Amino acid sequence: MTAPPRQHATDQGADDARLDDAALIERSWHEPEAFAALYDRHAAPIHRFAGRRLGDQVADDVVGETFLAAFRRRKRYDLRRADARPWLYGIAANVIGKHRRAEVRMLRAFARTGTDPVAAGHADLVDSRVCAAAVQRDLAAALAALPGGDRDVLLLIAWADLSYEETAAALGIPVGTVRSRLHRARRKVREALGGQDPTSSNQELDL
Amino acid sequence: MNDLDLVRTLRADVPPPAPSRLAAGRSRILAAAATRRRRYWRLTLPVGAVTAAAAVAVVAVLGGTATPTHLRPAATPSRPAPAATARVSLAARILTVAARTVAAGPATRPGNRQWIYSRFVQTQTGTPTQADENWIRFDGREQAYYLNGQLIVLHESSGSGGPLSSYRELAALPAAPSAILAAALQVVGTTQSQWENWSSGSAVAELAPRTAGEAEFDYLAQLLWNAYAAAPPAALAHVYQAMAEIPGVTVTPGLTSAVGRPGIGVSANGGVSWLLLDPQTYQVIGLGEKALSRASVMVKGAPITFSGTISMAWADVAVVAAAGQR
Repeated sequence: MTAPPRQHATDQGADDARLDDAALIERSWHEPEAFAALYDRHAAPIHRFAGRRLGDQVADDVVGETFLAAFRRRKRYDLRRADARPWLYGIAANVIGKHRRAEVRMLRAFARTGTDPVAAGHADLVDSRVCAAAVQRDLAAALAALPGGDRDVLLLIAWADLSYEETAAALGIPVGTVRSRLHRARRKVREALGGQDPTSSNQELDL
Repeated sequence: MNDLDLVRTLRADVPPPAPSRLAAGRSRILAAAATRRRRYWRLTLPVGAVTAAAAVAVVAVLGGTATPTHLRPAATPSRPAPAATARVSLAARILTVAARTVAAGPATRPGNRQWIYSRFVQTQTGTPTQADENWIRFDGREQAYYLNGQLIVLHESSGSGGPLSSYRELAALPAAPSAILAAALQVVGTTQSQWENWSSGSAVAELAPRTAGEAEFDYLAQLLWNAYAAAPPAALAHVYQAMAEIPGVTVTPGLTSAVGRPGIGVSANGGVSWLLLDPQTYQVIGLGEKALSRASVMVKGAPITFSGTISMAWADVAVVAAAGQR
């Protein structure tokens, strides 16, 4: 008896590249391995997003858990949505939410000491570890003080580059709620920076 | 630069992840896919939507005498009529015999590091028969399959979902039928939306249960299906006894599995889907489903209705010395 030839996602790499996310997910309904192509497409930016919030180590788990959950829910994906990023970031935000206390703890430590625990894992970030600008420490304190839902909205927009509509889809909330949460979060950030004119901080940040 | 831009500068020097950081997550997906490929009730999309009229043509699939086939209108799925007393007692009788038979069976349990070879076959109306071979260590920590003649071995960090975890899940069940059914509802929930959630991640229940009885049955059917490598005889017997207590459970002798083996069908939804037992050993040999007009999914925004029959079988299961051996 010989093993039956098995279709594999890598056999179809060129083919997959032409498919939008929805078509890829639909394919994975009957060819589960095709989901790996979705992973290849989106895992790195989501890892970086999670890593920026929780550090490299935890980001490994967040990404694994996010994509496994997405894989299990793939049959419920709304195929009218060609871009799967909002869906994936929404799942990731949920997974990251389980680490909320760790996230806040690290932000507070950064604000207090000027040493960013998130950057500690990266040898090449040693400079920022030694000397974080005062503005960055204030920012970290402001982020730590935000309610989780407001922080999710702010960071999905600022770090993941999602639009208001995409953020709403990701978190399953109305666009109006996204706007109000973002408004609130930005106000708190400005307050934490002492109401200073943000343009004056360019020098401090050495941008 | 506004405040949002300032937020963008925070931790902006965190680099993209090294490829090695992403490798583990990718193999988790592939391992899940390899498992899911053979466990899932894959409802391959027919070409174009199948109308209710077309569904009529495939109704008379279930042979046997104990379970009438109900054809239901597409838009209004309804609970099948309560089974007559005679049928309930036939189901109870057969499941009692099944419980007694499996309880007396050999209590063989592979070692944690032993490899289980399995061949899975799926037939579906209108699509070619699919077969799939897989090797998995009993503890679920490694899986293997052939790809273009080469043996691919995947490592799983947790082993969850492997034969050992299924074995343990069965072994952990209480003995009393009512306690087993209560435990089932603990897992799958008690509301329609919880059942839909559970079935979306379930290996066997492609269609969400619509009643507590269907939910209990689907949960137990999944436990048995996943315990293809080994099951504790006493727990297996308790599960059959519990199934006999589910209202509306019917049995249909004279069915055949996807590989032509004779079997007895056990169903909680009037024969729309069924677990197939060997008529001598009462071990689980397959699963089947008539995908009538009940199953519709949204594709490109439009509902697609499935029809036809899906049948899956464990065609071969054996303990082997190493991955790749049969």
